Formats: sequence, C-alpha cells, structure tokens
Amino acid sequence: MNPALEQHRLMHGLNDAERTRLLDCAEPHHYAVGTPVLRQGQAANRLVLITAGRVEVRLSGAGARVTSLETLGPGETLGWSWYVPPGRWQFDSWALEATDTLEFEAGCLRSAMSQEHAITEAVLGELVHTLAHRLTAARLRLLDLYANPGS
Amino acid sequence: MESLQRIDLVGFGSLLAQLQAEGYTLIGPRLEAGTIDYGAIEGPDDLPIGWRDEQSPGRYRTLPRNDRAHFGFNATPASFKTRLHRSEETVLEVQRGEQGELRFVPVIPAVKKQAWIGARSCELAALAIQDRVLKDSADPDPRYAARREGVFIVAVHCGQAGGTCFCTSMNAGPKAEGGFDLALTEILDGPEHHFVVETGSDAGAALLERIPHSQPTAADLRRAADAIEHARATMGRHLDTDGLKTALYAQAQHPGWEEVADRCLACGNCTAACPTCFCSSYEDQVELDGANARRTRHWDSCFNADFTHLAGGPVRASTPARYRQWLTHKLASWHDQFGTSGCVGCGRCITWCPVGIDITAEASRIRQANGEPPK
Amino acid sequence: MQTQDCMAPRTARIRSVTNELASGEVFTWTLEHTDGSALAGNPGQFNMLYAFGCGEVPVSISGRTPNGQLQHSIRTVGRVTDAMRTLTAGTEIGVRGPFGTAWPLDEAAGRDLVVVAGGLGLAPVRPLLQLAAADRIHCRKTLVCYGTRTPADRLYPDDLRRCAAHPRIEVRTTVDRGDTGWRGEVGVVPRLLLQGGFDPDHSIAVVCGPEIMMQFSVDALRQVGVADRWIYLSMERSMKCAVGLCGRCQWREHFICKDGPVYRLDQIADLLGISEL
Repeated sequence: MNPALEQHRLMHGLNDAERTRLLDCAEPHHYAVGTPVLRQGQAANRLVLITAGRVEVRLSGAGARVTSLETLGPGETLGWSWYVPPGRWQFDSWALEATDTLEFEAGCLRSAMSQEHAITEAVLGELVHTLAHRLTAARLRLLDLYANPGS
Repeated sequence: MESLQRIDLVGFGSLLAQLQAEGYTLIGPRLEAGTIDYGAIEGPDDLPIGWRDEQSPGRYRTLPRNDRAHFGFNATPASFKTRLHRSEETVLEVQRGEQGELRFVPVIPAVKKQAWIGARSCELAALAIQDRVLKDSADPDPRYAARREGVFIVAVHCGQAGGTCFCTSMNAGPKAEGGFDLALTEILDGPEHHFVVETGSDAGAALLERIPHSQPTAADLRRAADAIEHARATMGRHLDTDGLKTALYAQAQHPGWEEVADRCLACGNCTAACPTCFCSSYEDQVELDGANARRTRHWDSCFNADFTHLAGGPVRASTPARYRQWLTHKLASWHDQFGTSGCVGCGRCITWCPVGIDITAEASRIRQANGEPPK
Repeated sequence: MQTQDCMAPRTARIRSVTNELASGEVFTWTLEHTDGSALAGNPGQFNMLYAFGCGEVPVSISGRTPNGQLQHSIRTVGRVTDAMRTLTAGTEIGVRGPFGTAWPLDEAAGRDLVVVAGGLGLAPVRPLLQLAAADRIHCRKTLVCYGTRTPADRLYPDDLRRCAAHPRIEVRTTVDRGDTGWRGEVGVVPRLLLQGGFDPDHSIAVVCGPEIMMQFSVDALRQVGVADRWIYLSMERSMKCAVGLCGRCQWREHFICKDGPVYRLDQIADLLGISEL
C-alpha cells in the first residue's frame, strides 16, 4: 500500500483485513488538467481521495458566474453526496493540475460499512472531519477578515 | 528622623502662612457645593472646620460635627491626581511654515510651588503609584514630572475611617508611612485641640523650625496613636488581597462579570474618581489659521467604547469585558506592570458609583465562586 | 536644555508615495528625516506617524528601499489615514519611534522560516521577505503563506515574485474568493500550513494578520508540530502614546506598545483565546 495512504486518517483504526476490505472498493484514476472530476447534478457514486495534483470545487448555474469555492490537494477527500440524499453531486470539481485520485465506489463502500463497524467509523469519521474543516473554513471566509473595516 | 513635635492651632496657622510666605500655593480641603473637596485655600479658616462626611456605596453626604475638627472627614470626591495629571491639557504645539516645514514644541509647564494640606495616607500611596507610572517609567510624562517637582506635602494621618474605606487591606493607611514633608495627627480631646507633627523630609524639618512648636507630652503621643487606631478599627470595608491576582486571572471567563455588568452603567465615574487611573486620550486640532496645530490630552476611561477602538470596532465591546478590565487591572495586572497594586483602598469608586457597585464585594465574589469552565 | 518629551515627534519628509492596490486603499510612504538621515527601526517595530493637524497613528515598519530608507504602508481606515492618503511627496510629517518589539531574526538561523500573513498583515512581515530574498536571514529556507480576500488584494506582488524566484523561498498564496482566470488556491491560510513542506521541529513561524486568522494559523502550526516557543505573532490594539502612558493597548498585564507588538506564543498563549480581553 502507498505509504501516504497507509498514514491517511481513513485507514486509522482499521486492521489489515478491514483495510483490504476497504481498498477492494477503490480504484485509481487520473485526470488531465482542465477535466471534470465530479459534475454537479449527476448521480453521486463515489468517495474521492486526492493523492496528487489539485482540484477546484466550483458551483455553476444558469446565469451564475462560475465561482471557485475552494481548492483541494493531496490527502484531502472529495465527494460526500453519495451518503447524503438526494445522492447527486452538489458541486462541480475540476482538475486544476494533472491529478491522481483513489476512488471508492459507493455501493461497495455501503456494503463494507454494513458488514464492518470499523469501516463505518473510518468512513464517517473522515466525512465528518472533512465537513467540519470545510465548514470552519467557509465560516472564516464569511467573516471577510481581510476586508477594510474602515470602508 | 522620628522626632515628633507638637503644634497648636496658632502654630498650624503659622505653618500655612509660612508656606505661603515661601511662595507655595496652598491646596487643601474646602466645604463647597455640598462636598469637602480640594481647592486653593488661604488659611485655616477655609478648612471645613466642624464638618464630616458620610459615605456608603453610591452615597455621599456632608454633615456638621459636634466639634471643631479641621480634618474630621474622609476621602474627598476628587483626589490630588487632578493637580498633577490634569484632566485636560495641551501637550504639544505644532507650527507649519510657509514651505510646509513643521516645528514641534512640547508644552511643559514651569515648576510651580504648591503645598498640599491634609493629604491622607491613601493619597500618598496613590501619588507613589502615579509617580511610578508617569514619572519613573522609561518614557516619563514631563508635564507630570514638572508639576510633581513643586509639591510640598503636609499629610494628615486619618483619625477616622469612612464607610467605603479599606486602606488597611491595601497597606495604604490609615497612617501615612512616608512620602510627605510633614505629617499631622489631629488631637481633639475635650478642650485639647492641637497637632502632633512628624517630619518626613529635610524641607519639612526646616519649615517646622520656623514655626512655633513644642515637645508633645506622653498623653499627646498616646492620643495620636489612639486616633490612628480608631481609624483602623472603624474601617468601612475589607478586601482579601492574598492570591487575588492569580484568582482574577484564572476567573477571566467567570459568569460573575456578566452579573456585575448588569448593574454597571459603564459611565466611567470610578475611573475619574480613582486616584491612580491614568488612562488618557490624545486629540489633534488645527487652528483656523492653518499654520498652527496642537495636541491635547484628556482623561479617558476603559469603560468608554472608543477606548479600545480598532478599525473593525472596539476590542472590548461589552460592559462585562470593560468591568473585568478595570477591576483586573486595578487589583491584578497592575502588580505585573508596576510592581504594586493599582488600588489604595480610598473607596472613591464605591462612593461615587451611581449604582453603588463595590469593588471589594465584586472582587471577593469573583474569586470565591467556583469558576465555570471557559465558554 | 529642553526637557525630553516622549510625545514630541521628529520631523520627516515623504520621499515618495506608492499605491499598493488598485483601489487606492493601501499606499506606501518612503520616509527620511528632514536632515536627510534614515529613520530608525527594525522589522516588527512600529512608528507613530503624524499628519499636520489631523493626528497620529501607529504604523508598522513595512520595509526599506535598497538605499536604506524606511517604508510604511498605510491603509485608509479612518479620518487620519484618509487625510494621509492625500499627502504628496515632499510633505513634512512627524514621526515618533521606533517602538515595540521586533521579529527575532537571529533566531531563524539554521531553521525553516515560515511566514504566515493574512491581508494587510503582509506589511509588517514584508521586511522579512525583502531580507530573505537578499539572503540576509540565515535560515535554511523560507516558506511564505499568504491569504487575501481576492487575487487583486495581494500586496507587494514584486516582492512575492522575487521571493518565488529565489531557490530557497517558497511562496504559497490563497484567496477567499477567486476571480476569473485565478488558477491558484482558494481557501483559508491555515490550509497552506497543513500542506507541510517545512520541518516543524526546526522551524520558526511568524504570524501576522487579523487576530482570528492568527488563532487558526496557530492551531494549524501546532497541529503540524511546531512548538509554541517557535511561533511569533504581531498583536494589534488601539494606541495613542506608544510608551505605556495612555493605557489603551493593555492586554491584561501587557502594554502591547512596549511589551509587543511581536510576542512569542508561549508568553501569551493563555491570553489569546479570551475574547474581549
């Protein structure tokens, strides 16, 4: 196993058998610069762990400016919509650089989670950790800390 | 120099007259507008002879006494602070020449001789603190220093304590332990009415030589000691200062700050009345001619919203935070900053608080209650 | 002899004015004393700058020109700084200072220097960028992590470019909001620190920006293993006198004008999280 993956939070607390079970759900992918990783509105079917490169999360809509919301890099996970109804990607994400990922298929994950409590803990733990960090970051940015307070 | 002398009322008059003859302006207590406060006096007749005060949280009254005591009252509304650290003054004048060249001229008053008559031990303790903050710091205020230089002090040891006094808790009285040129104890016992005088400096000793005085009797000395003991025994309040700094630092997030802030009006009366509060603001103004400008300083208060103003708003936006700052500074952080408490136990902040908040009660409540974990 | 007065400024002249942002809200003065001498001051310290008749404001030292003239970047946030923005080269002003503590440049020797800045917080650390680019800090490498509101709000692009081109300096920037054409990072500054690239056991971090941004950056630095003793922050409070007489900049026992503005985290760690202190 890739040492970075071995160190990853997702693998913490899992024994060898559980790790194997989890990794059985995963497949590596490569994205060229400027290609989509996840498309807003499509069925959410996987959890994406970025192993190299950089991905931009965007929101687009009729009449709306395409806005870059956040950039994500190695070690960060992307895609929780497969776990949350209605099961469609809420955001677009695009590879800003040549990007390598490890992608866990949602159906396989669900079945592993239903069988192994430790895997449920690991996957939900990672999701909650990611959501908490993104929420904090979003709140910090809402504060608009660098705005000129005098203006 | 522990040689005590005795002067009678005539001698006391001579003392004031001699000071005037030597060029001192006399600043002493006067009965005025229902208070006993410091102001310019010309002689003993200007003193509040036969008057006393009653002080309690949020309350001050002057009442006649049944004797002719000259110093039979307690802390005045304003302290001697106002004589050195002026509530408002110009500190700098700036001139701009025709080519836009600037010239900065510090405004520093000439040394003027002023004699403080009747300064109490708490006043002298406060003076020592102000000296440390404004005169003996790395960057002293030359205006304070200039005024300070001309001060001659005739202290009076307290013969009674007021309802809001707690100088004994702060090691600041009721007997002045130093920092004076002369110190008087007023003796009033039936027909006996005179002063026991203690000299605290060469200037004080020299002055005493020039006025009629005599050896005090053993009875005089006993009465003087009794008077001070009486003040000690009638102390209106008490504050336990043992471990107080640590406790207040630890209780920064205590809900008690919210409770006191429900009553606190954030009016700043306490900081104005306090003999050690020194915080100030500076303002720059330009004259109509456009060629002259000046910078003035005026007293500020940590209770003002503007006091901690940053571009994004005040740092201490809420009253609990401001009250916590004031009390913690006075009783705790002052020690770290200046090696002394910032409080002398004069009780002015208690008396002059419009809602009667009592620093001794709040400090002990905050320290005693079990702190809730930080929110 | 005239009595020394800590409130009396010395005269100085604005040599030049540079606009730092298209909005005009930040500008830099290059200053010299009217006798031609350079203004004193070390990175991290500040001066009190006086504009005739308007007033005085504390401004951190934000660099020196190649020939040693001191620079101050000023943001228009109120009456005094608005007036300062209208002043042109050649205008005489008043200067008191320098005041306060400086960044501990000597302590960077042999360590990775991590410079963390947010918004206008780059101004007080810009001298470090200049010195690092000129190989005048004896650190192993320098990592600059800088966050702004938008790409257009980034200060000192020339200094950032010079640093990025230096073999031993890495520059990471991030923005709260990208704009069209922005291909860089979008997110908060602490994220840049979690990307690693420095040895937490042999680093020294200097942090400058809004207090909340500094608190979250401290969390990230601790998370990657930098000890409090090797983290320095620059604190900001209201100041009128800069010498401990006005009392406004008190932060419990500290007078930030004298004891700060630059603090080592382990000396203030217990104060940092207490709100409205």
